[in-house]
Amino acid sequence: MANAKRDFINAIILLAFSGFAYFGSTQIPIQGLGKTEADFFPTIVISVLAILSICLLIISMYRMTKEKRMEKVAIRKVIKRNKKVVATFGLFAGYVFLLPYIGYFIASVLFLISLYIVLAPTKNKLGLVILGMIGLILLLYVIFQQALSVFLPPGMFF
Amino acid sequence: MESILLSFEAILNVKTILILFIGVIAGIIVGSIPGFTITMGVALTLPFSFGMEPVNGIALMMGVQVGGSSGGLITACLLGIPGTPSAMATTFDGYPMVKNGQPGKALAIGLWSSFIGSIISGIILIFTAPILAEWALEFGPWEMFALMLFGISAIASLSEGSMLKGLISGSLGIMFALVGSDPLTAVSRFTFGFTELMAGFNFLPVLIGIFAFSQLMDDIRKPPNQLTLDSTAPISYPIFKTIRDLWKSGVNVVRSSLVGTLVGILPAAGGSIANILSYDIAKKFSKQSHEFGKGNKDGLIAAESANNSSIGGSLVPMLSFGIPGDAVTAMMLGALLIHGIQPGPLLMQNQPVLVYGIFISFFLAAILMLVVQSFGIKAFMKINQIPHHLLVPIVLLLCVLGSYAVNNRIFDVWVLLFFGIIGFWMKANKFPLAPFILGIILGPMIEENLRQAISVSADLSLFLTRPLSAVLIVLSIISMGYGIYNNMKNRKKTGEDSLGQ
Repeated sequence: MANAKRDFINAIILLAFSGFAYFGSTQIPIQGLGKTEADFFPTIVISVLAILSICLLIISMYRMTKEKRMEKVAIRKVIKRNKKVVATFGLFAGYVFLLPYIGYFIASVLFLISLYIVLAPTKNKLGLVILGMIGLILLLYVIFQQALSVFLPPGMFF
Repeated sequence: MESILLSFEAILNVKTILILFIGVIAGIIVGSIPGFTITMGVALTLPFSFGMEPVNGIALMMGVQVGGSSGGLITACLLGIPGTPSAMATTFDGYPMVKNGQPGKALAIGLWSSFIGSIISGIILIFTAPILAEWALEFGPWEMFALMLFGISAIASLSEGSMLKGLISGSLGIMFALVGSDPLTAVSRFTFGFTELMAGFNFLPVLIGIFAFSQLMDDIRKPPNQLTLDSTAPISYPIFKTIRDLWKSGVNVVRSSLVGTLVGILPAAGGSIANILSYDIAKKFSKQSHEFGKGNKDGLIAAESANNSSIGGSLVPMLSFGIPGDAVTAMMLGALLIHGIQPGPLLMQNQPVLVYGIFISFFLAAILMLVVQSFGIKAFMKINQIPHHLLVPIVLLLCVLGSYAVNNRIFDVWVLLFFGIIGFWMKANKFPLAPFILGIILGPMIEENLRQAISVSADLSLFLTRPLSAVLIVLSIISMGYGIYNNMKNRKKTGEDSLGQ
């Protein structure tokens, strides 16, 4: 069960997002064309989101005073506990960054192998797994490029 | 009549049947792997549907949905672990039946119940959707706005967890839907200088990010139990015995299918609620209620016929009003939009061939599901044993390709990552995802109808003085009231203030 402190942080994040969205809504040009302007509906939605976030903030603060045992939210501990998730996000971001430079084939091979190494508890039959992954990458290349006419990023090599 | 014949022509050809067949197989695989969801399966098949005719694309997703809904049965019966949340009650009697030495009987009864449930809900769908769509044609922007508001508020209040978080999730979804050009004045909003955002976020990377990517990350965080199925165990059971068993429980089959369909029609209440509610009703009506939970076939029949029949039910509001009943139908709606088809009451009038094609593909998917699962159950049991650390990288690669394929641009893959992070954050903090998706899909339509209503008349009281609009707004308030009541009840149960959970 999510504890009150986490919800408190969530409420702060949501309020900050509402503020950011409000700033964005002030940048919308006003045209004076009809009864409602382009910022009409966004203003309503941002207001609703901000009110709901304030509700979450108040409730979480109330719960924080009620909860006797409060779990400490230490970012370092959270990252350590979810290191595989963090590594996957990092690898994924690296993959997307490299995709236009080194192309679909090489980037995908590197991504799949490195992710497998991160996630697999044991590295048995690694050679076989790599071969299988290369086969799959090629198969998907053929399906997308030939059957679905989706031209995958070529990169600097091929 | 001509439209119906044209629909048959569009569906009954080798290509479409093959697409449906692939969809059903993909659905059963996704449905039978704990940790993978039907929504995720549909999100992953969406990219493959672009190059297809709309009717084929929808058929593919229909296959995944029907297959996935029955695929959860395999692990629910054999391991006591529901492959999908909609197979939760299936474990109550399916697993004890297997432990009692009747794996074949459990699978056969579950499978045929799923099939009959699908057929019954399909029949109801055919008769109700056109009537409701015709009625919806009389709706003005006030009624459409109120209807969509009801859809979002109901899904936010009734979805699992806190109502407040459901409402926040829905508002966030609408907020992200506002990025791009204003539909009425074409002024750009929230693009922050990114020209790629002029047309808004593309649905596909958003859907894949929110449902598939975040689910995979959640699986990495909390790996689901690895399966150890005995694929050599005898699992055959004669068809005539299965039919005889179901015949004897005919009332239960029909009642559970009706319950499932009705639950499916309601916004937010999908297969998982249908599955448990129907099981509960069957137990209350049964003369052998004490046998429930110990391997009673009526419990299994109720659970399985209800979860599959909820699919037909969820298609009713989608096809008649353009309002998705759950996350999966929201994705189908998104698929229609990607194909340039505007969902709503006019869909039945403007695209009758497509709508009847959806009906036919639903029935065909049910038949194919029965055939594929009857003959391929052993193969699915083996696929189940592929370790997650091998599946996750492959599915992530599919997510990337699917997102890239929309516009052939890397920007959409970054969008996938962005929404993957949002989805993961929401999941980790127990914000329901379904209202977010409904917000993304319905956001632009809500805005359009609201502004249209105001441009016709600035009198906002019309929302409350027009009878249907007033009823729908009252229903929205009731659904939120029910959400608050439910939260209070849970708070009493857990001893915590679950409103803010």
